[in-house]
Amino acid sequence: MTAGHERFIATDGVSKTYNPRRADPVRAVDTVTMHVDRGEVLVLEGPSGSGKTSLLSLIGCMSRPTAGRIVVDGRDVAKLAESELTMERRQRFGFIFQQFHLVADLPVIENVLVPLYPTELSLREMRRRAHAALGRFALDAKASRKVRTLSGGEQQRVAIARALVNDPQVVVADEPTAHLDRRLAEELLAILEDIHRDGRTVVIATHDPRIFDHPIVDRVLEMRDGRIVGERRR
Amino acid sequence: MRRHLKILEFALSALWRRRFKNLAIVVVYGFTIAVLASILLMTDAMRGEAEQILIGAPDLVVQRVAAGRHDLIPVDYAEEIRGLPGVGEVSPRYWGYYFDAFTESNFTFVGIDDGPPYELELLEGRLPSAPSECAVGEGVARARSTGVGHELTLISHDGLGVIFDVVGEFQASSSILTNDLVVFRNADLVELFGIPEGRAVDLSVEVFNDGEVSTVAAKVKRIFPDTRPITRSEILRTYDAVFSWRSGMLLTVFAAALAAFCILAWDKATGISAEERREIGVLKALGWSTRDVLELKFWEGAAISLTSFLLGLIAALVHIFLLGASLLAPVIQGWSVLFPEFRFTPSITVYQLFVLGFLTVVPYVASTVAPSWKAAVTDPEEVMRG
Repeated sequence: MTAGHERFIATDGVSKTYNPRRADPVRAVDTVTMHVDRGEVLVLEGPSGSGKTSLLSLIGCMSRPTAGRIVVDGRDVAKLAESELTMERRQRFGFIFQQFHLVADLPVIENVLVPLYPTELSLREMRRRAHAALGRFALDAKASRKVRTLSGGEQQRVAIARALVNDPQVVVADEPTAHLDRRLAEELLAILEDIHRDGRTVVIATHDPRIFDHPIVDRVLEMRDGRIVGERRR
Repeated sequence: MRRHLKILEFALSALWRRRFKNLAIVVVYGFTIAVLASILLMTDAMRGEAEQILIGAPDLVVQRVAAGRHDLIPVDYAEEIRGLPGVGEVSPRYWGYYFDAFTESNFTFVGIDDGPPYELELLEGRLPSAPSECAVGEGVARARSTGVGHELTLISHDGLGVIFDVVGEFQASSSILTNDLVVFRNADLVELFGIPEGRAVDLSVEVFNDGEVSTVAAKVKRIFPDTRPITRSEILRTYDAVFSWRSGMLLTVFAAALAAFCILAWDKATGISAEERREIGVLKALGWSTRDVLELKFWEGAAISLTSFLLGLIAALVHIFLLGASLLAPVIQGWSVLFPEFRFTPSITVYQLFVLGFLTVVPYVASTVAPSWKAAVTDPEEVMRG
């Protein structure tokens, strides 16, 4: 455990095998034991195919392990029913995807509202939250514009606003700088720093040195062939 | 409740996003439903018209058959039939079809002595009571541009023109019943058709007990082997079989379109596109549960299919009841080329709606929800990975 930090997420011998019943099963994550502290910025680093996205999905309750335990805030999420796992995702996690996964033909505000539709919030409260999230990234003025009319950097910020609209404890980002130039990558890192300053935990999967060399990063876990092969603290 | 309404709103917004594709689906699907509904509605309307006709039909009609052909029946058969136990009034009937060369239409001529043959109401005027008078149906009046106070010229059996004064025009809840009808006094019709004295077209027989009709029919057949007694229920069954057969034929012809639609539905049911899978994965990653995703897909399917259903049904109702089934009538009616125009009486039952809904809405909604279910129950990461 990082000194002075509370352990928030922990995996214990976690494995993830795709196509386990086929002749060519793929073991993406191989008996990984690691942890994430509350309020920490953790980077999973490694080349393509090293299993960092799969581990990120396991940590973010987006998939279930083939073996092992995943404990989030003291709760073994690997054993949760589908509905409870959904609630974990909805209440604790905000996701920033590599390809944004925005709906290009929907207005910006509607994209940000997507995580709030299945909640019991009123439409007024949903819109208030969405505007607040967009306002944070100076996008409120473009709330009614279609996403496809925005620049790449603006789309990235819409995706981040969507990740934050549920006020998550953990922000999970998969290769967030993969499609960004240097200036936009700097902008993103500034946003992540801002998010971290809120006291949120941030877990990033990347092979971009601009991220894992950045001062906001507390720890880097190196992955190769589904295993953690090294750890660097800052 | 609030959550359901919000998911419905999201579903409608998703449909609007793909409005051109969805509009194309609604058009094709709506057309399919319109044709299917037209066939069902028209067949049922025809059955309804037939039942209307048979409300006032005799319990038993006795025809004479000579060499397998319908022939005129001796009126004196009536006396002997009247003597059978349970039999009431036995009356000779004079009627026949008349091909009108002017309008190339078939009219139905009926002779009366007292009241009209069925439960008919006059729109205007009165029934014929004096020689050379007649009352006409709406279709005949329209086809021959005549009406009360005008004349109707017909060609008699010996090729001579005969002029009748139109003294009445019919209306009825069933227009098919009176549309092609011309009513005369019996004597006028006998003369017009040249029916020999002592003969009638058939005999109508009143039977006091409905349960005895077939027994009386059997007795008539035994006494007069050259006759063919026809009960009202037999006529009803015949109408039913004829219309069922014709609608079945139409459905068979339409089967290619139905098959194409089934293939479309099957294609939808057996898989969803990679984009749709990824979208479901994203929704789940963003905190949507399996139930939420399935509800979204249900609303999408329901909105499309109900819209198509309503549009198809309205189109079918307009086609059948306002436009007189102009596209299907030639097939269902059979000889309608020679038949004056008429309108079906508008009617639709809950059962018809249920059958149509079950055949169209349910399969579409199921084919929308079922393939999404597989993606929705899979972990979002695996769905997005593809």
